[in-house]
Amino acid sequence: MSRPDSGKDPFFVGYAPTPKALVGFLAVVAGAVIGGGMAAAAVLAMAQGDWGAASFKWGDGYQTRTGVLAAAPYPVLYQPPSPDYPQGRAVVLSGQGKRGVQQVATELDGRPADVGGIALGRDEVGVEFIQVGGEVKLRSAEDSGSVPVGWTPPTEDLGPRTLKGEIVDSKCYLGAMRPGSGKTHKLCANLCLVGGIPPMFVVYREEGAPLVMLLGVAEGAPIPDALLDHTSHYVELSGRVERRADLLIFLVDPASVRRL
Amino acid sequence: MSAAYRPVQWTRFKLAYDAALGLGVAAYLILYLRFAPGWLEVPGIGGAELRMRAFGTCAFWMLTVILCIGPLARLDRRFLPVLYNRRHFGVLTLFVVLAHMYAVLGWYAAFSPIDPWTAMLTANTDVTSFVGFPFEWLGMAALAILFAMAATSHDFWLAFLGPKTWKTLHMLVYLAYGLVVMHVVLGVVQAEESGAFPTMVAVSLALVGGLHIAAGRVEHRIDRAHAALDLADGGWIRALRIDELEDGRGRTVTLPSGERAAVFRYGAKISALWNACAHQNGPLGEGRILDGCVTCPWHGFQYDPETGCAPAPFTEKVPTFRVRRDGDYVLIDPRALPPGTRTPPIVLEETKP
Repeated sequence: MSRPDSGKDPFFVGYAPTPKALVGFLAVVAGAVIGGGMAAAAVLAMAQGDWGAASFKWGDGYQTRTGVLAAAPYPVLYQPPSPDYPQGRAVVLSGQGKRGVQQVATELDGRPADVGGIALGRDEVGVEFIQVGGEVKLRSAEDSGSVPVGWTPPTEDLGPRTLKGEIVDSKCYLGAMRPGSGKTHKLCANLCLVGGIPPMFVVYREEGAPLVMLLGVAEGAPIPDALLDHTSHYVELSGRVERRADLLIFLVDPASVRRL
Repeated sequence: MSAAYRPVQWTRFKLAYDAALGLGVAAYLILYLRFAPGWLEVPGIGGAELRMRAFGTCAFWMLTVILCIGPLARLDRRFLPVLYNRRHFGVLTLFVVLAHMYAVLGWYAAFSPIDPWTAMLTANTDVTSFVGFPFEWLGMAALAILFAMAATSHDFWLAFLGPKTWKTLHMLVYLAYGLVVMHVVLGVVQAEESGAFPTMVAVSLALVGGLHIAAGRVEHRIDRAHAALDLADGGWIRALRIDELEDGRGRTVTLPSGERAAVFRYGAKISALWNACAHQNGPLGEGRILDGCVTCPWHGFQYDPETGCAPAPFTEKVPTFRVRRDGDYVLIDPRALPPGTRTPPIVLEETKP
């Protein structure tokens, strides 16, 4: 194979030596493509939103709580009043991965129970959440004396509301994933909700932290599959809001959903 | 050119090309994953999610560059070497896309009782909404196309499928690009508030679209400028003036049928071949005569100008055209002869001082 001419109009053949006149040009092209890519990487990486200080609290170690368990609309452990939480303290529960704990919770519904696991949470949102696991898991309370006999979480009816916000799965939103909301997370959110992770309704506010409510339907049951099409979108929902211990619960009419 | 199939016929140029590709991808990913988060005031995104985005945006950038190479090479011949090894660029892009897919499967689609692949197809079925459409499906469809292209990128598949089928399959890259654009628009562009992500899509579309339109205009001008519509006797056409041909170089002539012929002068002879290379339809008329053979500017496939046959032991063939001289003009019979048919060249008289 003869060397293609290397004059002012060089001719490139891949299996022959590259004309010298092209080497400099190709080096510039390679540099431009690599440099352009690096610039794009820097811009796109830094353009990503801040998805919040939400995470598993591994540093807090294994957590145990004792209270009264309510299985509907989703499993929540209600701890008796304390100086910090005079109305009682709610702990939203999930299983490992994208699994809920409904089956065990149904057996313990309304009874004192122990919960053990790893906490996760979002700094600006005051909801306590535990991924159940480890030695204690979710069981009937071993020391039932730690819960006053006959105590049930106080429930305050806050009346009918029409609210705008986003349906999320509580576990990802509160710390398992960042982003744990929005369109790219929709697939994951739906898998979590199908698996039994409690859903939440997040009302974004212009100032201050988002308002986060456990979501159920008016009869106090879990949300229907029809609402899965509306996760991760900005929607309007109507229903009744109640406060149970320190947890807001939004019991909605699924037919009222409206995409905004 | 190859007489036998080998996984890769390495050349120094290919090694340099692949090294540059690897460097570019590594630089992009290291910057995105390792350094850029440190520049953020609040690194408010998870590690797995960051990997999804790093691989995804890298693949989008690579696909954009790949689609720009073709028109750039039409607009400026100096880009032809970048075209030469484009299939390696494509295969590497597939691997980056697979890394993106693996990151999604191993995180958003994982930890569930549902199989991750099943979850990708069934967890979001909001098909009646444009903004809610399961953008993951679009990405998976694009992945399937890119996989088919990468899997058939070797010349074995070109010979096995035939150039027409192979070319049609590989033109699906434009469909894949469209799917990827919508995957991004209905995915991360909706999820993020920053204008950087829609800007990324707009820049990509402007580059790919603008360069293709510009290259199309050049092709149109070539067709008009080199149209051989001047009919001579017996259906032959007057192609061009002999003095328009430089020794060792070709000229493209657009025939009345819209097809193109490549007319070459080599020493005192002139011959005409089918313009599309048997390998990947490269424009032979823009090639050169090297070692007595017409040499394709894309991948260096060679053909004897009188027979259209690749030199032994190679077996590629292209159709030839009969040529004759009419004064200062080259006449071509526009009815192409079967590939590999020997045709006598025009022999120019030696001018003696």
